[in-house]
Amino acid sequence: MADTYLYFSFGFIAFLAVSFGGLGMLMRSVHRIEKSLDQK
Amino acid sequence: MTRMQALEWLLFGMAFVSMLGGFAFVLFGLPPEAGQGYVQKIFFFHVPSAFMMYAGLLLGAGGSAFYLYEKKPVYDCVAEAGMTMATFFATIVIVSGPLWAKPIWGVYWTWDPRLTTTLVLYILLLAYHSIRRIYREPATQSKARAFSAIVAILTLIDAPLIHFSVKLWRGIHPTVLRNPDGLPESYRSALELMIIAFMLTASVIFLMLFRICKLKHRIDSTQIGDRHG
Repeated sequence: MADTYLYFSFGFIAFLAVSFGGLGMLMRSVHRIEKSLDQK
Repeated sequence: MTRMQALEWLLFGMAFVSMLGGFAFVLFGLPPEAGQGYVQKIFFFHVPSAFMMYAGLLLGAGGSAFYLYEKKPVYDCVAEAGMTMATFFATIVIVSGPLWAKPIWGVYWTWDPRLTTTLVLYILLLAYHSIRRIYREPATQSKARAFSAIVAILTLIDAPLIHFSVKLWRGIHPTVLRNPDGLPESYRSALELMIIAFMLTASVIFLMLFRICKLKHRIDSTQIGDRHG
């Protein structure tokens, strides 16, 4: 049982970190490109 | 940072917090189901993903219909973002379903009506993206957009078929939500929480895809302007 919870916790943290980290980076890039196009 | 960008970050933060809370509640707050054990927890990711897949399809087909009526790039972007969002959530549905089916049904895949109609939908979604990617030249792009819009509308027809397939053709896929004794109160609350978390996350994804599409249109028009200028 302890192992199951450990796997769950690890998978849970990894999934959230990767997916939201990626989404956050994407948002940042979009905002940067918009800014550079506005300045042109 | 503009006001719109600040709002996007706020939405992102809300999506993250709700997903964190939802995940923690489902994995650690709910006891494992008596009959199925831990495998049942897949339900809390599978069902909200299916709802967001339908939402993406609605946006995709709606945007496409408007685009066919009035050829404005903004409608094309709504359609593309909606269909990409639908594909993303359909992938979660089509991966999480078999992961649940193997321990419960004994097989990863069976040609049940709901599974088959979902697979058809997935193929149509891939067709939509293929059409848009095959014609990349500026001369054929508008034709590809119109053609893909028709495919998006056709894809939406499959959605009610998936939803009602269990009743229509007596499939074996469980119908927990329409069954009044299907879910205990705590499970229903967890599902509602997960639906909210998925809705917020889907909104961020849709918004980002829409912004990327608009940027593509903007860059394309700048390049065409440069060529002719």
